[in-house]
Amino acid sequence: MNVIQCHDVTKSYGQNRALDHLSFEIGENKITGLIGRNGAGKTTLLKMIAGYIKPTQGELQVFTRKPFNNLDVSAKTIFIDDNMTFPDSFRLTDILSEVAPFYAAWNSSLADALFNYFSFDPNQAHSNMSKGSKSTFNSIIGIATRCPLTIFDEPTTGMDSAVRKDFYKALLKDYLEHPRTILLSSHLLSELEEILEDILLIDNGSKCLHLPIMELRELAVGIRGNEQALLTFVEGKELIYKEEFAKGSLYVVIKKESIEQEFKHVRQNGLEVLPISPDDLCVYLTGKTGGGIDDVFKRS
Amino acid sequence: MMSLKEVDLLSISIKQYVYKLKAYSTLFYGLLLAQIITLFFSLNGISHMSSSNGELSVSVNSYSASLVIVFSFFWILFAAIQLTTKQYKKIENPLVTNRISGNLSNIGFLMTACVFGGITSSLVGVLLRIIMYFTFDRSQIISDEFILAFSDLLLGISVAILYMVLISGMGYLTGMLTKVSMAFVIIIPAVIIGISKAYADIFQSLIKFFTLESSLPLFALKVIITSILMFGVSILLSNRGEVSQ
Repeated sequence: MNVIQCHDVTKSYGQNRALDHLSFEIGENKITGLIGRNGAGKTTLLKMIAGYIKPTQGELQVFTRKPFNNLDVSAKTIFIDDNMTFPDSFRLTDILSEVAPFYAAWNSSLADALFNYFSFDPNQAHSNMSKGSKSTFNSIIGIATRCPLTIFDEPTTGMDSAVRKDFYKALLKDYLEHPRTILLSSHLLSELEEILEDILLIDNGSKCLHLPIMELRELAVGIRGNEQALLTFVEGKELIYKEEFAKGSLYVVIKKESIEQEFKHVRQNGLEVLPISPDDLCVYLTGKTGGGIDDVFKRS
Repeated sequence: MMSLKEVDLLSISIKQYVYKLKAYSTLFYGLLLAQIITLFFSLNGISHMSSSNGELSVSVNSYSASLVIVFSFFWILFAAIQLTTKQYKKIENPLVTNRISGNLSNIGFLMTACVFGGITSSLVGVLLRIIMYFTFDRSQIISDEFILAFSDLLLGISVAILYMVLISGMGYLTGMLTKVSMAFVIIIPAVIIGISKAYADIFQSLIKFFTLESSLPLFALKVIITSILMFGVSILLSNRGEVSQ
């Protein structure tokens, strides 16, 4: 059964299309990473799933209902980002105890334990916290609500690396004990990779890839070597990325399946096959121009 | 895991109401503080009159707590408008909510504020009398109503609450209209001033409809029906489309 069904969804703001005919499905109890460049439409998509905004066109269903302005969907969904607002009159501990009654599966002992672990001051006001502390505190709410659909929009903004690691560990541990559907958006795939099952890559409001992270790892390879030899080898094949890393030498990224039969030739031609990290691959897949930032400097 | 346990609108609205009551408790302290300050102003008398003909001089000080009630009316008007602002709406986001539950809890909060404001502002009138009784020369106090009958106090409280309900409805609707279009910030005062000038008689009778009602149950009925209409329209307006985030 699918928790999220998104069919041909478009969201326009005036002339600008934040999401462009996007279709995908997300199954129950999966951890999916929503990856994309700045302005790719990640937040728009997540807010739409959380029911904050309406699709302009197309059909979006969460728990088989339209999420916008829907109380049932709201009860089963929590959306965590760094814009969460709490009343100024609440101290941090008040927030935890006041939000709790709204969510059926709220686990207060877990919330308290995490709160103490990250050594928050119970009397502090939410609005006075630093960016990183705010993200950490909001994430505690995200984990402790144990909502069947938990959405994190850039949850690690401002967190230091130790806290980031702790957050991912805590999330994963609680997920294993209490499976639920989790959506995480980030532009840093490298740090998320280990906890994700699926990855949804979007670019300019359109779907680029939606596949298990294991498949993404096997999707492409990089080949490096002499420019002439490499160009003849890859001739007629679709390149994901091409870069001249030194004079006369070329580096290309290519889909693995397109060279499966010709692996022998690669070595015969003195070319080198390199694995490519999912993080780099996502950057290449969503690249605006073929040559990357280097092109800018070559031209000027 | 996928059990679609239906949530019920009323219980969520009540939870939100309790949440908001705690969240905006400072508003209530603010009103109390303001009432006490206005009380001290009222202790100097709200009007002063003296005359003398050389032999005899008469000096009259009038005291009244009406200033406190007027102040409470303004307070509820601003509270109602404020609840419709984007900033206040944002605190609903982390909670289980939809537009209707958000509005219902707001209305519940405003009604509580009306009751609180109505009772406290009427009691300030009693407090004013008590302070005067002990601090002034009693032989110089002239009033038929100095000793306030309990039934009159109750009547005063009820009327103050009802007026505040009416005002909160106007404020809430105004706030919602400005969410639909900022043009209403200009249109609303323009229409009110326009009607009061061009159709003075209609405007007068509209005011008289509420202010000259001598029967409490009838007055209550008028206020309740008008307020239900105003809040109802507000809910319809907010349920219409999406509010920009």
